[in-house]
Amino acid sequence: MGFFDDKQDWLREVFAQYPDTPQGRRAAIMPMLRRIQQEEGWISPERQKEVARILGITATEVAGVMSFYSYYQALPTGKYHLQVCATLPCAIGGADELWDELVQELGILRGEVTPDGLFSIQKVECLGSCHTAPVIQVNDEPYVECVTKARLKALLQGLREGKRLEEIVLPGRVGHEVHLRGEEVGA
Amino acid sequence: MNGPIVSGRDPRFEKTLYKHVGQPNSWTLDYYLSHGGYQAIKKAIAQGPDWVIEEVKKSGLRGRGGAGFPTGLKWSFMPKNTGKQHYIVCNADESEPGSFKDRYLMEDDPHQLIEGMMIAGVAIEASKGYIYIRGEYRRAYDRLISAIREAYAAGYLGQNVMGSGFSFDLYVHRGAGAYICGEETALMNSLEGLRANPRMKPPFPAQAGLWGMPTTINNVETLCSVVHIVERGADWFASMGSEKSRGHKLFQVSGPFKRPGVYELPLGTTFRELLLDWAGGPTEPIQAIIPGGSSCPPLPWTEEILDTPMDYESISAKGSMLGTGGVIGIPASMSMVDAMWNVTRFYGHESCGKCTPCREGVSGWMVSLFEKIGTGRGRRGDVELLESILDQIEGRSFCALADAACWPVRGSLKHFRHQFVEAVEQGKPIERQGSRWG
Amino acid sequence: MLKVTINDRTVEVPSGTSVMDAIFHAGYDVPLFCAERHLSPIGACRMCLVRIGSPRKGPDGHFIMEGGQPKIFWLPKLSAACITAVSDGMVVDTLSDEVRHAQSGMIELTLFNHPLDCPTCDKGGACELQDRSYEYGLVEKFYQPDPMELPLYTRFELTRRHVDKHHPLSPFIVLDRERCIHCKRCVRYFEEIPGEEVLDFTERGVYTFINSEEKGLPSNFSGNIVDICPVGALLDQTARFRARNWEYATTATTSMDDASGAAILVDTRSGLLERIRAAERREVNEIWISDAARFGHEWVNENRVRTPLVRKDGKLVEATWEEALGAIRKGLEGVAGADIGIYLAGNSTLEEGLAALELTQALSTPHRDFQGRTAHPVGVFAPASFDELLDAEFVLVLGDPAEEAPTLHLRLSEYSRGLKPAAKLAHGTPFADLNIKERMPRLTHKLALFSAYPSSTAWWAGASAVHAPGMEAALLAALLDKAEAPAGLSEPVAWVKARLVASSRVVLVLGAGVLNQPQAAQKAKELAERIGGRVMCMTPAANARGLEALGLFPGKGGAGWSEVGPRVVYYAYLPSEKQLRAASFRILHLTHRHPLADKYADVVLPGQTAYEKRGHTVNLEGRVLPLEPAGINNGQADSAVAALGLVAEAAGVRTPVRLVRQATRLLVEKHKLPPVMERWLPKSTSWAVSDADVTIGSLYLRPTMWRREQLVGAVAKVVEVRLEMSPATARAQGLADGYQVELALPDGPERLEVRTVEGLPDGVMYVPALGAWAGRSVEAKILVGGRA
Repeated sequence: MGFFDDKQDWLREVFAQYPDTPQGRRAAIMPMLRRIQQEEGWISPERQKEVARILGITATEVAGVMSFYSYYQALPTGKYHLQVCATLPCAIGGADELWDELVQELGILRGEVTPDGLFSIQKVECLGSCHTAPVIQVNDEPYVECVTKARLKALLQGLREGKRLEEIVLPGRVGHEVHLRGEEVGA
Repeated sequence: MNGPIVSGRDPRFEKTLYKHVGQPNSWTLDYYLSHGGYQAIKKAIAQGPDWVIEEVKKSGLRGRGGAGFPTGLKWSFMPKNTGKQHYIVCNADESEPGSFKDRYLMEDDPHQLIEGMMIAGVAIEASKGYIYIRGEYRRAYDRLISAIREAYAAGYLGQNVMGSGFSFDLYVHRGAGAYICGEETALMNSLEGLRANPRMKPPFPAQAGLWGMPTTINNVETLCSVVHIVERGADWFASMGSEKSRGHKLFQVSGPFKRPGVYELPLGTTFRELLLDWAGGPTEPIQAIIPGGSSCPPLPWTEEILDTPMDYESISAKGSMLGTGGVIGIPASMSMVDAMWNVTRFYGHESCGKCTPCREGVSGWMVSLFEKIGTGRGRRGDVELLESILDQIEGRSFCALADAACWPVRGSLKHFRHQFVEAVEQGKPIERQGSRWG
Repeated sequence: MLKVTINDRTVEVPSGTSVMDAIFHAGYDVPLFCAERHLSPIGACRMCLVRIGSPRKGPDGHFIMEGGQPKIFWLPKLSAACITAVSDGMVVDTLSDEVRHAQSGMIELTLFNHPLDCPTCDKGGACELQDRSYEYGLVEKFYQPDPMELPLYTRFELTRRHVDKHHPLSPFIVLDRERCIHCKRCVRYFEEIPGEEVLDFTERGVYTFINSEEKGLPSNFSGNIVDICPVGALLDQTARFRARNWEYATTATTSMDDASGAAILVDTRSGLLERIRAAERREVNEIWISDAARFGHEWVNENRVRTPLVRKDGKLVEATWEEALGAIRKGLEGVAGADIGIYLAGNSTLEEGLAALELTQALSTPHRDFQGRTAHPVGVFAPASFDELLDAEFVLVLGDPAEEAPTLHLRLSEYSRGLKPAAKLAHGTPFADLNIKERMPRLTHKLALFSAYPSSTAWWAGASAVHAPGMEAALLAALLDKAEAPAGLSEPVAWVKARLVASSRVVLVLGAGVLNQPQAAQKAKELAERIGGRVMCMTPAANARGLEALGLFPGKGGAGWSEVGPRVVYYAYLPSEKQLRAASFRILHLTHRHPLADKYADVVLPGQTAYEKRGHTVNLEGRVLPLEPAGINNGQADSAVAALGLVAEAAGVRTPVRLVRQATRLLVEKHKLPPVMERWLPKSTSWAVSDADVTIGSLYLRPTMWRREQLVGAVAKVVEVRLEMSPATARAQGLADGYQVELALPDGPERLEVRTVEGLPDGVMYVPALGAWAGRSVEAKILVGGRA
């Protein structure tokens, strides 16, 4: 059963965004890989071959493009793939300690999945939310910002309880911050 | 008051880019229209491409993505009447550490960007546009897609926009986590579905860009600025800032400050005004600031630096760059070696691997050398070794990523060399003073 | 032409030349790793950094002067010479300290993660990294500031990255990922030359490595990456650890594996053939050869016939050449000259051909031929050269160049990207030709291809079709507007007809399938004449053009190579059992022992493989090419010239050809053979063609680049010989995937496994010809069939 067998309409829409030539069609590779990543949590060799077949390129080409980026995973991930920003502003905000805490708490390293299948972790580079450091991105969702100890605890708790990310109430901040009127940011 | 506007406290200064950011439903078409949206594009279509390019040239607008190339000049490189498909591409790959201004432009005012792209499309004869948005910006993507859908439905996008005869199709392409895609030629390769190595120039994108067609790539903020330049005129824009750095700019503040965030201010505003006034000042002693994103050499936290106007020439004169305007404050409790180790790891991780100096130099040797020093295994001569490696990487690479990796380290060695020497001589792993995580 | 000054020399080069080539042209040097002849320049390795400057004109339109000379404005950064085009008046500095500092730095960084494998690496001694490190690396000034101090050999004390070593990409190629310096030559080669993207980089940054997801590196042109890899990352598995590079004796000769005439280097050690590499021959194969030409050599060393063999008491025993002469004399007693047949191999030299011709004339026998001669002569077609191919506006192919003439397949790749022959500079082929870019689109409107079996050359064709074998005549009739297009081919035929009308320079390429059907070949000739096009004939025999031109085909009433011969026969190859049984005295001139020879041969003479021959051949361009013998220990083996001289003596006739050099001289004097590399276009001799000898059966012997004798060692692991047919055909025959059948083939019965392939025409079965019978259809006779 091919991943895109029942997604032909979606595929057509994707192809319609790019020129109708062999070179143009190849641009669909990124949206296709993203969709597989979103729905299956990783992109298996079979899926890579399927993408290659649909685009008329080799599996080697697909693997070459896929492995270039940080988002596409070549190994299975947990139901919640926690991407922790590790670059300087977040490091100043304590991201290194946050990472150590996650490793300790979940008992896994990069590339592994917790036994209950819920969590996997990855250090990523600057997510673009430096004023609300430290920051975690769960799967493909909008960021979880200002991840203090308390908010991290509430996040993991909420995810373990099976809540959807938007439903989880995190202590402290509400909404995204744009400090043009002198509002304080705080935990 | 007379003279150029160089302070956000100047009563003549009025926010335009971030005017609606933070307001409820600011991202909807209704909101945009009821606040005077989609008027500038009408004017641009009526006046024609030559007028638009002239106006943008007169305004003095420079690319806001970090390179600062004059936008009007860039547009004028596009060939005319080729019969080929032209493309306007928005570089929304904002991945420079310390930068997050484009994110809210897209989350909270996507129609502004759409209108800006259409105006650019008029100027360079492009009937198709792509927004290459970094894959992580999920909310911005959702809002953009929703806005584009609204615009199509209301006739602001598609064939014969608003009955004007001008047609424009806009697509959004999501990235997948690679900083190098912010480099315009690597962006094009990534969009085309190839590995995102940068391309040779020449040929320049205006001659042969996306799929070999004439292409212009602009930053999000640049395109949004164009809307207001067309609406209010080049003179209005040029009334802000200094002679070589005209207009307004979105500055970002991150690090241990009371109010980190995005601040729309005229170019020429001082660091003092941005950091101590608007951002409320530091929450702990700060030793250095990176003025415009991690590629810029850090500057020491001194009165002289604080009084420096934030524009291209003034910061350049102090030995750094304006970049994206993303100011990062580095606390005194963190070793500069530690900070530079982090930044070097960033560039090492993001190196595409095409050319030897970046792949083996930045991603290989610099990262390993920092690890060696940072874990306390530094030896006498390691600082000199680091400097000599920088000499072999900077200016030798295929694209500017390797240079961007060298500049902050050079800047740190210039102003904070003693910390590096100490780390090597003491031979102790770098410690963080106290916990940074709350 | 633009003036460029390199250091102290000023040269003129065509506009568009890269600075790198201008430097070489001027006689100076610049190091390089990622640049390669015939590949796109990419500026990745940064070895070729040079300082570039140019004079500038002031506002008054005149050059800004300094000290009586135009002032040179140097660019602020060093530039990569390979991706910078020269401009008029440009000044390039390759010798200053700044440049030398950069060169040594780039070497140091290239060596950063490179393992210290030299003692055990097969590339040692022929390694571009070793050579450049030695030449540009430890510059005293930068690495040994104080003459009394020890030189600083390395500043590196960290751990190198560790990745896969000796990873077998295929039975032919082994990859060592640690040694890779990321020059990307191999990746670009696959995309640009054969167009098969089976190799690419994975991950990014310092973690980048070379990878293939296509198991076994499925490409018939994979071997060229072993030549172009500058280090020991990609190595020839068939020659792994066989010798150090400086121990090889290298001979430059011509490949006789097909009619392209590709130049090769044969590496031998201690009399054994260990390795074959491509040699540069700009006009023919550039720097590329096929996998068959490169890896198909392991059969040469084993099981050789080293001495003559004569039959004593029913068994073949070793003998001397004198004893062989005696045996042949005895066998020819009472035999008329006209009852003797001389049959040469298809890869025989012109000298051997002349020897055969002169002997058969002296014997007054019409029985002479060379194996693999096509049913229709090729001499009647005016041949196109590869340069003319590149210049064409349209190329029509009836056949499968990828298998039949591999060099032609690669030149068509060049053609389909719109490239012209590279400019010739003082140093030869440019290293950084800026006309070649990565991922150039294929100009499919320039090519059309029809074949009886799917061909990979068709990827580049605007119109292509697979048709049943035997349809070629009908297809050509349609193209000549003499008939309706065959069913299913009307669209491509219409497209081709329109293209033919619109193009003024057309080249026609004919495969063995057409050449073995006289009706089809006649129509092809008509088409060629009508469009004023030249023709490339992809003959199964490597020297078909040359041997045909000499007249080595049967006289009136003579038996050809595919028929049963006269009473006494000399074969310079192993014929079919049927042919052996029909003769009464058989002289076999063979390179290897074989059970059939043991059973039937009366005399066996030790033969030379093509690698051991001295002489000349003519490729499909009509170009004369040389063969040089490599140092292979073959005992007392000798060429057909010597063997036929022996036969002449035994028969009591005199021929003017007894020695190879004698034959060469005679070819020049009597047959006007031009010097090597020039085209030999003698008045075409040909035979009366009859339609009668062609039967279109339902078993098609499809041309392949591989030959039967090559199927040993690594080749046997890669090349799969199957009986292929469409699923419908299999069902109709009561066969299925995996069934074992015994099939009657022209050379004898053979056991084969059935494989069904979608897209093949129904009602036809396909088997790889693996030799002289390529392009022929025979009756499909399954002797034994059944389940696996």
